Amino acid sequence: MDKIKAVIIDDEYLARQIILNYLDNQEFIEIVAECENGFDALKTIQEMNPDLLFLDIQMPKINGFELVEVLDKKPEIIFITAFDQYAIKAFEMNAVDYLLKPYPKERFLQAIEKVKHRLASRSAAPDEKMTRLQETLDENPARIDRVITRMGSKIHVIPIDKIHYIESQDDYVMVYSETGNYLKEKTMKYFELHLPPQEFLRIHRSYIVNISQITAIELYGKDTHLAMLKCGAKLKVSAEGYKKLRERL
Amino acid sequence: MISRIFKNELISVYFLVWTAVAVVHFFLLYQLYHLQLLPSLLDSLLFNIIFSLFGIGFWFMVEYSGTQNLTQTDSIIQHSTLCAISVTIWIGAGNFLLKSMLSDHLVYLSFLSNTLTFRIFLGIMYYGMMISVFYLVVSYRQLREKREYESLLTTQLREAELTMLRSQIRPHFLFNSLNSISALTLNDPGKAHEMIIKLSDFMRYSLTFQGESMSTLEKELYHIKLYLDIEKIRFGPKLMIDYQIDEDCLQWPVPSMILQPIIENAVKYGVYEATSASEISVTARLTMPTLMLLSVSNVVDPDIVTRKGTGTGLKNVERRLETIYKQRDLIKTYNKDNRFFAQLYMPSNG
Repeated sequence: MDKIKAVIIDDEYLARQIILNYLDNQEFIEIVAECENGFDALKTIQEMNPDLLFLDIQMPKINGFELVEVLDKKPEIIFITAFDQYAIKAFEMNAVDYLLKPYPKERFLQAIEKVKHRLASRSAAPDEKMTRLQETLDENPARIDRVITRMGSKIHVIPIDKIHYIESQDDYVMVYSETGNYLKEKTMKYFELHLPPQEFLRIHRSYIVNISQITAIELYGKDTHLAMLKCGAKLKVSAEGYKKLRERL
Repeated sequence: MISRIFKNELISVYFLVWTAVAVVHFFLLYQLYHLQLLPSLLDSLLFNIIFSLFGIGFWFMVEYSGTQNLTQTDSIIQHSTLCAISVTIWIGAGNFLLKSMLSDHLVYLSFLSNTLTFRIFLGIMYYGMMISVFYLVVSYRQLREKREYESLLTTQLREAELTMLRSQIRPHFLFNSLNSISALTLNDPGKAHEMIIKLSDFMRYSLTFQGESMSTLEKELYHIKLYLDIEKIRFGPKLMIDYQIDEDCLQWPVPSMILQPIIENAVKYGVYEATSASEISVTARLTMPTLMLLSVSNVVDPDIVTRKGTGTGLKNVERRLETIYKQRDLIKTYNKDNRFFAQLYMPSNG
């Protein structure tokens, strides 16, 4: 069997050192890169196509989960975190490997063993497991204040107050923002749940709008209206959406 | 208010009891005193309906006076007066109505006037019983409300304590520091040793901290340095610290742990969220002989989109300063040249 190619992603030098130390004398695993943040990690993963990630969750600018979200092909992942009650619950529910800092060598090697098994038998594709984990995490009703998107190997962090509106496009949504338009693999329902309701409103089956962007609402046909946005867009407003908007404005 | 009365199940119980009283009343007259059917029926209905309606008034009086504290004599006077008035009206109205309705039932009319004294006693008894039951219901209800309120208070208190404890222990900081130590024990035991001692000192200080205690700037800075040293071991060259403390500020009185949340804030936004090297600067100088200015600033990466903190850390600092110095606006925060500044003004009178 080939050596397992692994990447360590953690913003703390000493935290990366532990993994290197624990892996000393192991012949079946090779650390091909170390990354300090999600931006570097994305490039590295796309270039190196590793089999395994050691992934810290709390990192600057984008966190571990946000990185996983924008990965096309998901390698095996061992999550590492210091303290995050919600994430730990999500890991347990989906039987994803995770290590709690500080962790002993035995526990670390156990996690590696599991990965080895899975890679050898190719059972339970990691993609599937990650999708389930992502679903569990998405159910957490915590508000988001940024949306992470990816174009090629570049990650865009869109602060939600820069979003003009969101349009549904089959399995994706298109996020229209001050800095450009970005495709994101999430549902309208996800955004409805996570964007702050004081600032965003679902005005139509296909649209969630940033309320502060609306300049005028015009009648359009019998039951529908059009919302005029500062950016020039005109969005259909359903009867129900119109009712909600009227309450808000 | 009316709808509230009728929604209440107590009202149905109340009228059920009165119905029972009326039935007994009727049978006594009809069977025991061998009065005719119509007078027995009317007598029972009229007297009991009138009194039961009075009772609703009594209920509101009891419910209302239950919330105020009357002296014993006051409430005795109040009840005697009310009792006398209502019994008089009750018998007066009852007699008047029955006399006019049953003017040709002579036997009954003489029975009515003969039982006047008895009815007065009956009225007083009814009044007394009703009032006692009402007081019982009201005080039971108050007791239950009080218990609910107390348990609510206990829960809130516990939550506040938990939040306080968690903020003192800082689980993220603690576990990440322990993780760094575990790495150091493998490669650099000397440094691990140093870090354990710093972490212990720091934890001890923050755990023994109590709300109102005062300290000196020198002592506070010592613990801030401990904290930043630990973070420096974690983040290495990414964290740089610049202290500019005037000599004459060192013995200045400051509330204990007042700087900690501000420094933590600077580390959170300046270091945790930064991908490049970041500097935190701490300065202290006297602006007037009686006023010290403490300033903490950190680099802000314009690209950072952080989770908007709840700002509770800085709000708590503000609230504490207000309680201690009885002065507002002792904290000022602003952004300038890609840096975030938090400035504290410390008067000399604590």
